Amino acid sequence: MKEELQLLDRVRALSRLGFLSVLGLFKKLGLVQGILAFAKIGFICIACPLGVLQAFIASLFISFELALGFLTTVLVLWILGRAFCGWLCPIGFIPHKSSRSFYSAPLIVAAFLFGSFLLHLPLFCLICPIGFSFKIIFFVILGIFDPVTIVALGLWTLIIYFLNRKYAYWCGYICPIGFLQGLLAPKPLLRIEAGENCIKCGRCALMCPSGINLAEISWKSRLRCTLCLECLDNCPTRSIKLVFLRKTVKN
Amino acid sequence: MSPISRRRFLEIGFTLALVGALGASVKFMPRPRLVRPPGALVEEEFLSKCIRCGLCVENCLTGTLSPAPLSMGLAVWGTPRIDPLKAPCEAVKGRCENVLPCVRACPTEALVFVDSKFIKLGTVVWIRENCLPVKYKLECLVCQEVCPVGAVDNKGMIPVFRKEKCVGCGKCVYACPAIPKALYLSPIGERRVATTR
Amino acid sequence: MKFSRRRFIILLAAVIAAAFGLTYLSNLLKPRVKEEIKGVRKNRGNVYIKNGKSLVAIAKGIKDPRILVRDVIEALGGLDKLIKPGDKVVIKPNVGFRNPHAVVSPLIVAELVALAYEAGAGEVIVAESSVRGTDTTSAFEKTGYFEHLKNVKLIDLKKEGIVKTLKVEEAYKLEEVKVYSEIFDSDVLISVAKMKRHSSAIATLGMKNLIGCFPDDEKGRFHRLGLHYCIADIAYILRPELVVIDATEAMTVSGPSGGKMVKLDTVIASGDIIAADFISAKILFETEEAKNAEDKALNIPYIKLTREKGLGVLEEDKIELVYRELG
Repeated sequence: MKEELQLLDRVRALSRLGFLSVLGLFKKLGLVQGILAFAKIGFICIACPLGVLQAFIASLFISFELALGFLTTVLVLWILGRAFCGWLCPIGFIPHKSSRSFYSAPLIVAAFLFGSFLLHLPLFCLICPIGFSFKIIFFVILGIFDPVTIVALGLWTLIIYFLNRKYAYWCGYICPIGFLQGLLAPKPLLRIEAGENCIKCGRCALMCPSGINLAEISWKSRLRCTLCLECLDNCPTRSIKLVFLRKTVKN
Repeated sequence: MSPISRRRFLEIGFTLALVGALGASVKFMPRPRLVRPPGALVEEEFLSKCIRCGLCVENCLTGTLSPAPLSMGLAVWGTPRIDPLKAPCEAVKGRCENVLPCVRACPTEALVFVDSKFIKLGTVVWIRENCLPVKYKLECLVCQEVCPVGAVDNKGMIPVFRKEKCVGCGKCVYACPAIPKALYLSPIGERRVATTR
Repeated sequence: MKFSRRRFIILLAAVIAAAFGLTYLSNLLKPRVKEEIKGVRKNRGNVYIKNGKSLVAIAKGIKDPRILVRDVIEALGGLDKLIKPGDKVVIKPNVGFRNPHAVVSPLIVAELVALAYEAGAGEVIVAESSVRGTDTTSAFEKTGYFEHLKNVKLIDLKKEGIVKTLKVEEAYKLEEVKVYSEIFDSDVLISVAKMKRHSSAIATLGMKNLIGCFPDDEKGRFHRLGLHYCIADIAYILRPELVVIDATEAMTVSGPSGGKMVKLDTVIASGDIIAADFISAKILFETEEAKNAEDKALNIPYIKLTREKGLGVLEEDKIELVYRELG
């Protein structure tokens, strides 16, 4: 059966593309330095939380700038939750279906942190697919030809594609960075909530790629929410809403 | 064992095996010795602090810093190294003296400020058979011309390298007109910063 | 995105193709000028001749090099003899290093720029491409060129230069060579060199100075093909109309980046590139107290080779020396 692209899919895809283009442009203009593991815009530092954790565990030291970047990121997470995952991260281009299996993200984070501690290296950063995808954009913009990273990203794309298809949604169940983002901001200001008209039909759980049932939501299942708004789009009673603080942003 | 928990056991095992294999390959694969930017910590500490962000590469004034490719190993992939074939390093008696924009840019203190008197990035290695006056009796000594610290003497047209004076800036390597080059930059003799803890 | 295997494979292929394609394109879009020209630079020859002999003017004895420059130019006959109104005049000074002792004094260049405009030049530019591995803009800065030449167009050829390919059949070694068009297309070319010894070329004067008119990869090639032959070739190809030698202090014993500096307070100028280099080399060796300074100067290979090509003279009876002690 031929699946149809829905409006929300297109908007999200456009959003990701737009983000990458803006980032690439800023990079070309020299306004942004570094990559997502650590980036600087003027004096504002942004750091990947998993990267900072690994650097800290590998060297048992954290520098001032790294700590600043970490705090800035945590601040953004407290406000926007995992919206980066749902709307900006390039890995989100890879198709997925709603399935669930083993929630491996916590184990992956623990294993890589332990490995970083033993080896004195930021182990996950060495192979991070999100890191590769951003590096490639920058190489394209700066005119650097690096076929190895392109091939590595291609390999990761295939792996994540198969994981999404046959095993579990990467962004919700496997991605260690996504998991850490959720853990660092369990009660973000921007969140999805079920309203009074909820009839507990369970349709949201079926449509959600992370399998979250809004009628039975707990802080643990909210960790997997990437704010993709699939549930909101498909609720039969239109009771699901996107709220910021206490105000409803979207119905 | 019920089928669900057996599956879960296999999943856990598989994940741990993958991470373990990755860790083992990184630990036991031989690591090349690279010429690092000025002010770099000793290698193990450097690799634990460097988050491969590329800020030093972006801020390098001469363009000598570039990220090490994957072919050099997963452990050093993306870490900065000095490539005198692209450009020399001007930390000693050059544009970057006492400024060190690479060190200033590093967010994790994998590179720290050092006095320019302390800097020795490596030592030049002379490949006698490729040297133009040796091979073809041509007039050269460009290495002596460009050396900022006077580490190249000469016997007639043949260069004589004073390795103790060499600071490893790579100017001679960059300027050497021989094809293939008669000089390369080795990290041997480098001075690194001991642990800052 | 909802599942559709076909859509996904197309998307994946498109992304990979885009990544490769865009990087390839951005590499292609880098400007590549490939203009091939047959022959050498159009030059006006030596206009400073008296009684059929090449004039060589030497002025010495004053600390201020600007007065010395004015004097030698006047002794030759003035720049209006050479420059036609509206001419594009290019001054190529030796600013190969960041060491102020190793480069031409910016005061001398400033004075020549003023003299050129006084003679009716349309545009005067100062251009250089420093030694390989040295940033020319940084050299200009550290040696005081930005400071003393504020309203003058200083061109860093390595950054701004446009390259032309020349085909020169009569060359010793450089039958095909790349040169900066800013130099090649000038109406008047003035080579201003510092009097220095040189590790491979023996002495670097008006002719060796012209190496800075060529792109970096060509400079390496000169050493591979035979430095002295290439110096003779570039002198033949560019043939500057005027050579000025900055001998306010000479770098003796060793060079070109460092040596024993000896104060001479002298400036030398001539329209004959061989006479200028020969006389200057003689003075340089005499300063080192060599017993056979003239022979040493005669035996510099690039001087012999250019004499063979007839680019100038060095015989005593063919040179008219104008020597003035001002102090």
